[in-house]
Amino acid sequence: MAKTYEPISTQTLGTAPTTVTFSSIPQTYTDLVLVFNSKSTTLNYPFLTVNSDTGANYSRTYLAGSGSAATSGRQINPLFIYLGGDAGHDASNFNYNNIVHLMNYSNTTTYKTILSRANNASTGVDLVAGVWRNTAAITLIDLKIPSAGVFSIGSTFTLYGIKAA
Amino acid sequence: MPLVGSFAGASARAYGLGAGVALPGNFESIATTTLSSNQSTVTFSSIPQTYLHLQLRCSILGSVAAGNSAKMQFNGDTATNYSYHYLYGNGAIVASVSGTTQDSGYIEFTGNTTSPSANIMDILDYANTNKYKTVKGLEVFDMNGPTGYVSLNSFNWRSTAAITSIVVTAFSGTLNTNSIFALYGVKA
Repeated sequence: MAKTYEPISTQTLGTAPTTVTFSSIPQTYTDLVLVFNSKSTTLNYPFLTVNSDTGANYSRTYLAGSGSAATSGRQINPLFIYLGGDAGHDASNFNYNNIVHLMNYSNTTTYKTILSRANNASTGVDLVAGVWRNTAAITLIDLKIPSAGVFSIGSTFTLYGIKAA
Repeated sequence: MPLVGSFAGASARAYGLGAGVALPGNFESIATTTLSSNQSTVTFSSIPQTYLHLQLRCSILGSVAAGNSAKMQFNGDTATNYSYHYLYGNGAIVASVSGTTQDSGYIEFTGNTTSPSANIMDILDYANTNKYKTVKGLEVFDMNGPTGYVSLNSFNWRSTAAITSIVVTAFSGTLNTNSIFALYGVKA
């Protein structure tokens, strides 16, 4: 039987960049799943853009739990999609992990919806809906960190493809 | 009736969990439906009994402005054998709701024809004939202006029968063109 769920690319950081990029993404899958476990030099929240689009073409709704409160918020027309609300990087441990689903990423008819489930056992848990308001197929993903921070050496990022029948 | 349909105004929805990482080699595509026209129902039948779990991954478009709900029923059972719990947020509020003796579980989806929802529904131990069946879902959508919705949810089907068919039926309106419903099997 043909493989359905395949790793496309994995990066284990040997340097400390501000951006982790997956480019030339094959257009042969139905969904993408980005799994990462990371740390940073400061407390911060990673965010995502696609196809190098840094315009106000995104939006997001989130649900976050901090251990003492649950909150929900929205951003309309941001320049990127924050992947968390309470779950963010911490500076001392690899407590942060996230599984991001980019649904129907290669279709050229609909906007693209992203589901992010982020966790940090020290700070909180999040569920995020993100939308890129563009019908183009996603060919590139940039994961970024706010200014003054970098992804720490040893952070791991794997992009998978899921192929429907 | 749940959530999204009752959303107009202050609303909400809820649910979430799942969407974990299946081991790639153990994940197989069973069937996929991509809608070429607006429809009220999508059906998966003759589901193979050779997997441990099922995962239904959906990108759903709709046209009910505040968002919409669809019923999710197993084996044609439309009796009140379902129950659910949701935790959800809509950008303004966080809430949790539950329901007993329902005639279905639910899927929540966008009211927009361009920004689809993302729904990942894990149907656990679906072929087992000794216990009731539990579904866990992660469901999200955002329409930039009108509303957004994220939820962690679970529903239960009080039957020990193996699940051989799944029917998804829009509560009102339709499941719109270009919606995708993809069913996968997860092996042990």
